[in-house]
Formats: sequence, structure tokens, C-alpha cells
Amino acid sequence: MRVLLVDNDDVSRVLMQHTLERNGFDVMSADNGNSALEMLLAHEGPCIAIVDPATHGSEGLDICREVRSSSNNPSVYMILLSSREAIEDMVTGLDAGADDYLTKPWNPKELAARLRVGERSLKMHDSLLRQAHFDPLTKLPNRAFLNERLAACAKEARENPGYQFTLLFVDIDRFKMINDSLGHSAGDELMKRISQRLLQVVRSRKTFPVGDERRRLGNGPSDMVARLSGDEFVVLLDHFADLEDGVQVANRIHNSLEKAFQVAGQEIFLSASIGISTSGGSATEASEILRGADNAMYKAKLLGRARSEVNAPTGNTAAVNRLKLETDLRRALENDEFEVHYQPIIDLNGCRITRFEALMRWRHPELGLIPPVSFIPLAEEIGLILPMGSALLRSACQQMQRWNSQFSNSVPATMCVNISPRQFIEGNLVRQVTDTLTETGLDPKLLELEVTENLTMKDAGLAGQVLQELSDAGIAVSLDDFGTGYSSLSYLLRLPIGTLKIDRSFVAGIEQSSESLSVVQTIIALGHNLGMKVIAEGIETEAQLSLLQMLKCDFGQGYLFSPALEPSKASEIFAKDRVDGPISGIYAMSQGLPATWVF
Amino acid sequence: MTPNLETADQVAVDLSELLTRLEGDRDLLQVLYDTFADQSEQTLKNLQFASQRDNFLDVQRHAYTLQGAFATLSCLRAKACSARLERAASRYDREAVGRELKRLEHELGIAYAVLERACMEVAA
Repeated sequence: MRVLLVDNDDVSRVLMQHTLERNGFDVMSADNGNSALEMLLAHEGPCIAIVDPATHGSEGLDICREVRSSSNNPSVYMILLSSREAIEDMVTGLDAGADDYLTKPWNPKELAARLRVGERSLKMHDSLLRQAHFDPLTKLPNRAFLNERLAACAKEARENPGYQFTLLFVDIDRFKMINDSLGHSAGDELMKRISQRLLQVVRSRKTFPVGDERRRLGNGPSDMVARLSGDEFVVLLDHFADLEDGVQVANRIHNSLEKAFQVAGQEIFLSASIGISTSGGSATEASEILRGADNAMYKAKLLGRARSEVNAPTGNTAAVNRLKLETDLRRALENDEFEVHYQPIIDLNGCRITRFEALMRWRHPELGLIPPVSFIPLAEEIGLILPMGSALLRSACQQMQRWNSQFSNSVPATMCVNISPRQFIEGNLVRQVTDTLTETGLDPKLLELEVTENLTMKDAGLAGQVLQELSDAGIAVSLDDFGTGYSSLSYLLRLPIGTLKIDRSFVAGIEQSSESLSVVQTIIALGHNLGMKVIAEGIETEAQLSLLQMLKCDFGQGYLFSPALEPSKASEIFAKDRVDGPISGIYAMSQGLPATWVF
Repeated sequence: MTPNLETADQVAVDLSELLTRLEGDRDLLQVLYDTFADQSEQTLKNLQFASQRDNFLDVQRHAYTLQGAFATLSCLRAKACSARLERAASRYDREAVGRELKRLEHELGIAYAVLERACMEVAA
């Protein structure tokens, strides 16, 4: 227990400190009222303050009044220690808010007894405060605590235009059914696990501070996860001005709850409906903002559960659009709206198709064909990239196997498939790839996985391990977008990488910029010196092609040859290449146009 | 000057009571005495300075501070004297303040002597 001594009489203070320390108290000391008040406002946890009522600066009685009138209701047990023995002085002290009154000289045994009373009182105060503010099952803040905090946040938002907060109303889907079937004891256990997962996705402390502990935490953002009742939670995102950020946290909650819960020997899968609202709109009262989130949650339930909905005041269109895109994306996976297109990669020396890069396209029922840049980042963020990537890999391997069987007399081509960071980190990639190869019958040598330079640098240890396992399984790896990251060459040398892909930004500049030309030349020389092949991306002009051929670049791809084509058109081009030999103007031909250039 | 009966009847320093409260810890007594000597010398100067300028508020404060120290060290007469000084200052009674301050200087000298001797006895 901490004790703060406030006395400008050095003799008293020295003796008191000695006695308290001998009795195991953690003693803080102040010789004037102002610094004492500062310490009382900044200290951690409950505290006993022994204050001389006539302390200089801010008088001891003022300290009592300040502490007692503080809205934070700090856990401080105040003992006045005075040289004045008159009854009036004692009454004045107790009326000012002191819990006890002692006179000098004090007796050590009497003091120890009074301190024990103080400790008991503080414990009781803390216990009552916790009972009033926390849910006994999950230990999360309860509705009362949330309301208290919400009111403070709403007030802050009204008074300070720079401050906003966001609320997520989280309702666990079909929890009653789970509770009824598992029994209430298992239901309680599940509720505790859910609470833990919710806490993991926000910037919240596991134990939320009460009373004066709150002041200690200062003004930094502090999110709160509160349990309202049964299966309802509210997440308060402090200092969140952007509703889109709220959507991202909601996505993290969806992802977190998707993972199976192990309770009572059973594997339980859950989802949640989440309503999101923010303080930025017309609603300024805490209850209105909470009601907005609640309404949005009900909308999410009505629209099929396991989703988020935004209670969007004007000005939140970006967040609404994003949420719509996310919903469409989830539906697209169920409705098989993704297509794999194939872009030929040409051997710049022999002028033949040697590889295809498999690229995902989304055929949106209303918006038509959507390029990857518009949806892959979101899919990556919300975790959909894992099933999407898996489907892409399977389709690409099946297609390549089909083509190579079709032209079994020719040199087989290789299929290149991009791997996202999330697949690399979470997806048990090696197992997934080898299973797919077994399932489709494609020779591992005819599959090349493309990983980005940044991905390999982000977690070098993991990258090295996974790439080595892929290499051991006979699967080649190429380094995509090379030159845009910050690869260490010594590190690069150690990785089992077979091919470097020069980023299109360098290729685009080689006609006009000697710097770009030098970079491309250097990458090609580097790749060859390390025993790698080099592919140039984004070749669009004949001049670029000529320069790359001159620099002995091995392979190229780009609109000069062909964009990514849907499977039937890609089949046609591949067939012509394999049957007729080197072809001219692949792209032009695929479009039924006259060839614009000749290999 | 007529001696104050209350002051005259009291023991200057109740060493027995003090040592009981300190549970016989004579090292602690030495620490307290050293602290007291440093503090009281400065506080007395502050008192004299405030008294010369009729700064009764400061006289009250410093007298109160000394009261605490005297009480802690069982210096009964000095404590009573500083209490009277504080009260006199609260009445803005310049004459009484001057009188009690002189008595306090006297009692302080006695308190020093008794406590110092007690500490020396300990050391011996």
C-alpha cells in the first residue's frame, strides 16, 4: 500500500517515513501541498495520504476538498495529522473530507492501527467500485461503466471538434442456440473466450482501470470492450475519426471469431453481426450514438448475419462503399464470380510462349470486370485472399496441365502464380501447393510461385524457411516487382530463387531515362550472375523490346504481346504458338487485328 | 518579565516519553535531532524576519511548523510557546508576537541542549 506524506515539518516527516517503511508501506513524500496534489492526481492505485492540514502552498484542508470533489472519485484515504488538538480543528478537518484526524506527537501503535482501518476502507471502496463497473463473468466493463465512459467521450466530442470516437455494437449470432445446446456452464466459458478475442483486436487493456487509475493513463487513446448483456458487446474506439477504420476493426473481429473455439471438448464456430456508428454525425448524445450502432447491428442481422453494417450519417460514403465492396467480395466467392485470366510470358530470344502468369479477375454482376488492384488489397485485409488464392492456384495448375497434355510433343510451358503475404504467412503454403500439384497432376517443375521482394524482406526467417521447403519440393520461385523494395543482396543470394521479375516501372522508363536503363541492365546482370533468369514486366513498345533483347533479358510480358486473356483466348494463342511456331503480334492476332510488329 | 506559570510547570523535554515512542531507537533520535537542528535554525530565522516586517501570516505558518517538530520531539514547553506565538500572530498582536518569539528562542536553546545531551549520552 502506498502512503503519501504531506508535511512541511521535516522532523515529523522523517519520523513518519521511518515508521511507515518499517511497517512495509511504500512511502511517497511531499513538503508542500501543490506537489502533493500533483502526486495524488498522478499516483497509481489506491493510496493513504497523511496530510498536515496547515501545510504550506495549498493548505492541507484544500487538498482534502480537491480530492473529494474530483469527478474521478480517487481511492484515497485521507488522514489529517495536526499539531492542533482542539475539537474545532478536528471537526473542520473531517468536514473537509478527511477520513481520520491524528495529533502530534503520534503513537506508532495507534498510527499502525489507524492505517489498517484505512487499508480496509480502501479495499472495500475498490471492491464496490469494481462490482459497480464490471461484468463478473468476463471481467469486462459493464453497461454502467460503458455509459459513464460514453458520456465522457460524447462530451469531449461536443467540446473538441478534433476528437471523435467510433462504436461497434457486436452481437454474437445464434448464441442462445449454442448456449441451450451446450449448457450454461459451457456457454459461460465460451463467453469468456469471446471476450478475450475481442480484447485482442482492440487497443484495450485486459483490466480496465477504475477510479483514480484512469487519470494515470493520461490522454492517449484507450479503447474499451464492454459487455452489455448476454451476447451483446460494445467496442468503443477512442480517437477514431474515420469510420473506415471502424470497419477495419470490425473485420478484425469477424476474422478473430471465425477461428474455432474449443469448449467442453467441442469445436464451436461462431460469427457476429456488427453495427458501427461514429460521433462525427448529427448524433451528439452518447445514447444516440449507441442507438445508431444498435440499429446498424440489427440491419446486419436482417441482411443475413456474420457481417457489419454502418449507421452512416452524411459524409461517410467512403466507409459505406468499402463495406459494400467487402460484402460483394464475400458474396463473389460464394457465387463463383472470380475468373482466372492468363498472360503469356515470351522467351525474348526464341520468341515462343514459355510461361503464363495466372491473374485473378472479378466479374461483378453490376460493374463488369474488376481489375485485381481494386479488390486484392481488401481481400488480403479481410482474409478472403486465402480461399481465393487457393482457388486460383488450383485453376491455374489444372489449366497448365490441360495445355501441356494437349501439346505433349512440344516443350511444356510453366504456370506462374502470385502468392499473397497472407497466404505466405498463414496459409500452410507448402502443404497447400504440394496437395494441389498432386490433385491436378502438374509436374512441380512446371509451377513457379511469384512472391514480392517486400514480402521476403518482411520476415526473412520465415521467408527463407518456406522458400527452402518449396525448393525441396521442386517448385520454383520468382521474385516479383524486383527493384522496388530494399533487398539485401547478401540475403538474396541465400534464397532459393530462380527468377527475377523487373518491375514495370523500370521497363516503362528505359526509352527515355538512362537511369532506368541502367537499373534494368544492372538487374539483368545481377540475375544472370546469380544464376537466375530475368523477366521484364510491362513491355508495351517495340523499342522497349529491342532494348531488353539487346540487354539479353530472358523473358518478357506486357501489352505489346498480350494482356491477360480469358482461358479460351489464351488457349487459342498457345495453340498457335505450339502448332505454328513463333508468331507475330500475338495480342493483335488474339483481337483479330493486323499484327503491329514481328518477332 | 513575569514567568508564565504554564511554561514554568512543564518539563522542557519529556525524554522518557520520546524514547518510548521511538521504541528506544537512539540512532533514530540522532537522525531526528540532526534534522531538527537544521530545520529549526532556518525556521527561526524566517520567524524573526517575518516578525520584523509584521508579516503575521508567515509568523503563524512558521510557528505552526515548529510546533509540529517540538511535538514530535516531546519538547513540551517549546511546543506550548510556539502555539502561543501562532495565536498571537493570528490576532495581529505585535507585542505578544515579539514577547513569545523571545521566549521561543530561549526554549529552543533549552531543547537543543537537552536533546544534544541525550544524543551524546547515547553515543557514550
